[in-house]
Amino acid sequence: MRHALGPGADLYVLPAQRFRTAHLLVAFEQTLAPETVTFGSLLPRVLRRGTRRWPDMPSLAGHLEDLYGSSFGAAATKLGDLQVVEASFSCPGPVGLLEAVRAARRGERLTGSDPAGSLTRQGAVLLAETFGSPVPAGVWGDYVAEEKDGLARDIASVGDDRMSHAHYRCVSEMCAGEPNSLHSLGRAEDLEEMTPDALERFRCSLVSEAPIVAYLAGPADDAAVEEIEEALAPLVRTSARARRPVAPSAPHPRPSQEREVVEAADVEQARLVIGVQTGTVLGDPDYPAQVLYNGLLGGFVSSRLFRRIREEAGLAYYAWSRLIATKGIILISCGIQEANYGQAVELIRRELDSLAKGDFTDTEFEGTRNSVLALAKALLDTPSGLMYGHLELRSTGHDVDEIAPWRLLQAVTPDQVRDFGRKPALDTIYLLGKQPTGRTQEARPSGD
Amino acid sequence: MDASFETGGQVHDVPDGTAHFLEHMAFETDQGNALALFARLGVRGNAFTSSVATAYYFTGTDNFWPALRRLVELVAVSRLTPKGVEAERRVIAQEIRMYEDSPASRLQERLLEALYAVHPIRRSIAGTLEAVEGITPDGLRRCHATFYHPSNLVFVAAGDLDPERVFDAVEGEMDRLGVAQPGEPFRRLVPDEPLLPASARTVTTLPVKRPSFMLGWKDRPFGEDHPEALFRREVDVSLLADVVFGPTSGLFNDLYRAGLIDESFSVRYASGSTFAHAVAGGTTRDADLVSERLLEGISRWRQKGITWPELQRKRRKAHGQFVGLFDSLEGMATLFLMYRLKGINLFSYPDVLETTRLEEVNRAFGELFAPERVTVATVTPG
Repeated sequence: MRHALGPGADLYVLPAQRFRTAHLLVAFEQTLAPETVTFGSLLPRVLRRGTRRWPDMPSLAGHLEDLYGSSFGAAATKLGDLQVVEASFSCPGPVGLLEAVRAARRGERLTGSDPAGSLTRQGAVLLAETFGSPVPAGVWGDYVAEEKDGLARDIASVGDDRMSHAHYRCVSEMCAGEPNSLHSLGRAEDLEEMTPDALERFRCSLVSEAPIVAYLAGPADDAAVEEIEEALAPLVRTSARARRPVAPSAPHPRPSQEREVVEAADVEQARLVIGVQTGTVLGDPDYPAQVLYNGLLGGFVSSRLFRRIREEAGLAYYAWSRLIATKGIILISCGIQEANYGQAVELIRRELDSLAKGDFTDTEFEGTRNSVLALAKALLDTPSGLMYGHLELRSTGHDVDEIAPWRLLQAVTPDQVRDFGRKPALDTIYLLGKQPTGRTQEARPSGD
Repeated sequence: MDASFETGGQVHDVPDGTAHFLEHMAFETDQGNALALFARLGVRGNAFTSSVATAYYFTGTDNFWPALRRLVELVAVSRLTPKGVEAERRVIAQEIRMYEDSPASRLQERLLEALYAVHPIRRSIAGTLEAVEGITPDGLRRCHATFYHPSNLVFVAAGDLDPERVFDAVEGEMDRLGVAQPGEPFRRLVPDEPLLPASARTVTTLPVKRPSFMLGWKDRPFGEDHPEALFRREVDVSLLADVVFGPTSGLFNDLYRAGLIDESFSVRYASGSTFAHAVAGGTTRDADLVSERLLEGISRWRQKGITWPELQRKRRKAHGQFVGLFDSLEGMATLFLMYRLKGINLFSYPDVLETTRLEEVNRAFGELFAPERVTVATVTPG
């Protein structure tokens, strides 16, 4: 349920008494843009180093240990065309710790008040300080210099993780010109101008102008919610004006033709990634049908891609598809021998064509729906799944009070999935391989 | 771990990657791939093979009972065919190539090879492309017959379940399948492993941009008869490691600020009845420099040991984090299983934690982190 903390500042409370840990998240939303992406990526790295009250890692880590090993972090996350700069905190829930452990050993459940004082309140205070009360200027300068070096090394070595690099490259080529094509770490060429002063100005403008989204997930009562509202109040008040809302993430437009992009790396295994445009984003009426479609195509080990590419053809160890729900994209991914590139692409095309014709049985559909529902329910069993799921929904411009995706998924019919199956259009075929030379980009007319 | 075993008076040596290959083949059933059968029930099935065991599991919200019967059957009854084995060999080759592209898994393999002279833990779990070529249907069947029976199996269920009903269902399914009898006795042939590392250093050049490092310290194993001692050692070392390498430590802070360690830095202790070691590592800007600085810092700290307040603080933190474990049924079940295989009850953790003694922790510091116990493994970009 939503609590307005102020104009453009919302606290969502996702109560779940079954969790033994409580989770807090405070996030600022901004549009991904070349001018700010690197600031957005650098800032949380500096903020997590310390606050005015806990100015270095040993003192901050010591404070967290005194809060029964609570955990704390800050990061920047890409959600479609948005960049979310966030800090999070989690702590054991409001029951006596040892009592909880002992009860668990006896297989019992426990309720009761928190003898150690409100850990969640202390967490909210820490999160507010993280953004609003940074370390003194001298220390700030040192941290900025150190974190710039660290970020530069991270950016330089993104290619070391072959799979995620191939995913990023495919999406980046596919969405060239869209905010989403930027890497969440930012751009190496911006680092030069990231002075301590410039980063401090960025922090001030983010904290006072960007929309605030806060979450509390886990065991929570009204008193806890009040405490958190109070703790976050100084942060909310930094702005005299209303915070400017961020434009929702826009669906990737339909491609005019297919593209093929081949890049070279010294790899043992070639990575094939295919971007498929659907244009259906979270919250759209046919989004639930898209989830079922992706389930049939490659969402599970019972899906088409796994069966055809791994089990029947033996071409790959992994072969799957997943939704980029904020952009209306389905990403298909597998690791293959380069010699099998043509065969793998052909097998993938065949399954897209088969689903476009609505060629699936009721048994296949029901099995997929079972898997989809199980996954949707499992997501509700993790606090972070709840919070990020909701944050993702928000980034597409939807603001719902209750997340009950399984109800919508339950209602999807095979015919709705058949209708949806005509929508996906193959957009970009990306290969990261050893010997890319001599291959030209060929263009084919797209989809239908 | 079972690379060499004796059964019925005969000694068998199996190629590296055999247990992992058998894990893949367990999913071949006469009704198609078991993963798909699980998926149709709306549960997610999977398996993993470690150096110590292969585990099969499913997680789900509905259809628990039919999925449970399916799980028992896929473990207890092997339906592998020569054709299926040939097809899976291609899939496993791609899995191995994927690991070969991962600097972290290459580093881990090289560290264990350098740390251990003869112990089977030094062997690659998935095997090499060549070793996997040598795995045969008959060899796989023999391993299934030797290891996959109730006397060599641990079963764990976690959730809102009636334990008696779960045990009845498992036993009932085993009876129905005719696999409830204990198997032929077998004996693992684990050669005597020296206490000191086989080599002090190993360097691997890989086509990556960022160096990485792992320091491994070999510990004395406790044998099969002392699971409590093994658990206590594990708890002592993890508390110690948190004091020395954790974010509150000056050593950690100095290395972080010098850009020598980053968020990827982690420390863990791995042990079984016949092996034990601690590992610290991550990515870095200079693998040689960070290894040197870490070893210097440890050697200075080792002289004085850690203090009681430092230990107290880490115990408090460990208590809190143990509570967090109860929010992940899957994580809890896996951890419970892995400890049970070592003869340890995970739920005794709070008691072990409460009774840790500073002298014991500092004794572990002196023994385990002695300079002659360490191997330095690095990945150099090239």
